[in-house]
Amino acid sequence: MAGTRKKSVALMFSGGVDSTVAAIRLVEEFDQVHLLTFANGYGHYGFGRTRRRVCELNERYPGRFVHFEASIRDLFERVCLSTIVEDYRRFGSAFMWCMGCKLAMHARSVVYCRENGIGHMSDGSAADSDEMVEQMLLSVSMIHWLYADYDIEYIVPVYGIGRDEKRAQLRREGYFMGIPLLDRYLGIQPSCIPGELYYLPYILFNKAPGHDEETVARYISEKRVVVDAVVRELGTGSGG
Amino acid sequence: MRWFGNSEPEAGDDMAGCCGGKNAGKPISRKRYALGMAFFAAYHAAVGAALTSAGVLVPRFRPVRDFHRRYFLHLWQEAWRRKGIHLDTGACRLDEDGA
Repeated sequence: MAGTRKKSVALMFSGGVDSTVAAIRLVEEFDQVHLLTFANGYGHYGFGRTRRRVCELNERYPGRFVHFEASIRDLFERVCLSTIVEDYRRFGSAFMWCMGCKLAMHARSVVYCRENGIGHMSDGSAADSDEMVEQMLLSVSMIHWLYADYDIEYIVPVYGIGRDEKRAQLRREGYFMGIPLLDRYLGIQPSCIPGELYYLPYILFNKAPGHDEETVARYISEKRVVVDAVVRELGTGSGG
Repeated sequence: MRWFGNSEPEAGDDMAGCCGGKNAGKPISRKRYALGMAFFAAYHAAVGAALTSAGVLVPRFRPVRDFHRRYFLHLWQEAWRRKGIHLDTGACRLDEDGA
């Protein structure tokens, strides 16, 4: 088990700029990188884009990546949707859709890591996307403690790397960059309609997203109970 | 938590500036505001119609439909009142007290 742990890492993977650069950095340090892609079943589409990116990585690093796709619909419904109307009234913002989705993904990732004896988990969280609730330093820190409770080390390989540097690296190495539009590249990773709706006022009007640290911390703390229950029920875990 | 290479936050980085995004609060033109409102309404209307239809057929979509309705109304009111939205009027900015 210990030998396996040092050789493998799991990475939450969409195929976007951040998670692709994270995958490239991780493959330099680990023998095998497990790319985990999750769909929540509610307005999440375009997973062929992720598969195309996995193909690109496999061409460059044959045999070093394992791609795992799974639905987290049940988990998402349990963590987030079962109480969403009530939560919206209590928290006064729709951030819980994105945060709840991410927590469900992390719950499933904990299970995956434990099933496969993987001691390191990672994602493409980045400081320059910290308007996104799940990429705030506070959220990243709380997710770190979630994994720590399950004896898994949480790594954020591209957190402080600027967007331009990451894009330049992918362009230099010949990865597909999609269609540039404003500050983004379209068509390189799955889309999420509810997520787009939540960040639409920011994109259209420069209006700050409606969440603050205190509220987000309270939400994550409350949902930890559900996440821990889910992990336990899926047959693993002593955390929480 | 482990950071790789130069990915660690720099000294002095903290959470004080979080939650907004680099463009939050920057002024936008009236034209962008008007076009944005149109796009905003159209996108939400399309999603709302889809969720209303789906809610009739599939019970699991009903809480999502209810959530979306509340969210859209709340956000529409905020956008209409320009809460947190700054229009670039081209004039000098005034302080809060009008000085």
